[in-house]
Amino acid sequence: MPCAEYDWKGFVLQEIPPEERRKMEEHLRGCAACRQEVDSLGLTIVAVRRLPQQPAPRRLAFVSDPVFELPWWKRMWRMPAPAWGFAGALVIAGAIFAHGLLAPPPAPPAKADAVEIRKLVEEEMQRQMPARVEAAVKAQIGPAAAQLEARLAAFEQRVENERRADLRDVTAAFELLQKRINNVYLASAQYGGD
Amino acid sequence: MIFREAEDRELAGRARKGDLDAFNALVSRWEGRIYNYLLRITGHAEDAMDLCQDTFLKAYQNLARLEDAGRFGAWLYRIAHNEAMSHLRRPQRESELDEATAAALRGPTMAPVEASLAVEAALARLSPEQREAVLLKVYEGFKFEEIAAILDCPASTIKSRVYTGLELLKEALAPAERRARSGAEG
Repeated sequence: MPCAEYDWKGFVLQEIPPEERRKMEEHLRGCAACRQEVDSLGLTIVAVRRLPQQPAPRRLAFVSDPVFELPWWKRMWRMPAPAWGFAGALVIAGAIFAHGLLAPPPAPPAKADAVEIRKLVEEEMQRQMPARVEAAVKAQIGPAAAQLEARLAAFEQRVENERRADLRDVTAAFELLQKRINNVYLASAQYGGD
Repeated sequence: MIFREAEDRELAGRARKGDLDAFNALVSRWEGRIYNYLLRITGHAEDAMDLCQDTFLKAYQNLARLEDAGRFGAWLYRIAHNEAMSHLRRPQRESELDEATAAALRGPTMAPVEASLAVEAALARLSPEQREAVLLKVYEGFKFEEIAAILDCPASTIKSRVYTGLELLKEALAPAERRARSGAEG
C-alpha cells in the first residue's frame, strides 16, 4: 500500500507545487510501494493519452460556408459606424415622412360670431390706425422735409453771413465818418473855432 | 502550450475584427480535438460531428463575448461541453437501441489495438462526469481550474472526479498492465 500522506495522483497529473514535488521525489527513492503506485498511475495516464484521435467523418464547415452565415440581426450589429449613421438618418427621415402622412389634419377654428369679429377688427384698426398713418406719412414726406430743412438752414446761414457783412460795412462807414468829423473839428480849431 | 495560446490569441483577435481566414484557421487547429472530445462524450460519430459543427458556429457567433482571446481553447471546450450536455438531455434516438448498431456507427477504427480497446472499455465504465473530467485533464491537459471553468463547477469537485476516475481506470487497466509487464519480462 502506498503511503497515504502523499498525493500521488496529483503528482502524476502535474498538480503539485515544485517544493512539495521535490520532497515527494525524495520519498519515492526509498519507498517501493509508493514507486509502484506512481508507476501504475503513470502507465494509466500514458494509456489514456495514447488513445488514437479519430478522423472526423466529413469536413467541418468553414466561416465562408452558408452554415456560418449570421442571422440578419447579428449582421446588423457588425455594421460599421457610417452605415449605422446612414441607417439612423433613413429611419428618422422615414419617421418624419410617416408622421406627415399619418398625422391628423389641424382642426378648423371654431365658427365665431361675425358681428363680434367685425367689432374686434374695428377696435384693432382704431387702435393701430394713428400710429400706422403717422408712420406712413413719415415714410412718405420724411426725405422731402429733411431736404427742406437743410435748404432752410443753408439759407439762414447765408442771411446771417450777409447781415454780418453789412454790419461790418456800416461800422467801417461810421468809423470813416467819425474820422472826418474829427478832422473837421481839428480844422475849425486851427482857424479859431471852438 | 504557450505558443498555442499566443497563436490562438492572435487568431481570435483577428477573427473578432471580422477576419474570416483567422477563424477558419482556428477551426482547423481545434476541430480534431473538439470532435474527439465530443465523440468520447457522446459515443456517436455523427452526433459528435453535428455537435462539433454547432460548437464552432456558436463560437463564431459569440466571439465578441470571449474575454481573454488567449483562452480560446478552454472557451471552446466550454461551448462544446454545453452543446454535449444539451444533446444528452434530449430524448435519445433509436440508434442507441443496441450496442452493435452503436459500435457500427462509431466508425471502423475506434480502437485498433488491444491497449486502446482496454482503455476505451475502462473509460466507458466511468460515470459521464468522471469520464469528461478525466479526458479534459489527462487527454487534453487542462488544469483543474480550467476544467472547473469549462464545466462550471468547483475545482474541488473536478479534482475529486479526476482522482476517482483515475483510480477506477488504474484498477480496470491493471490486468492489461500486468500482461504487458510480464510480456516485457518474458
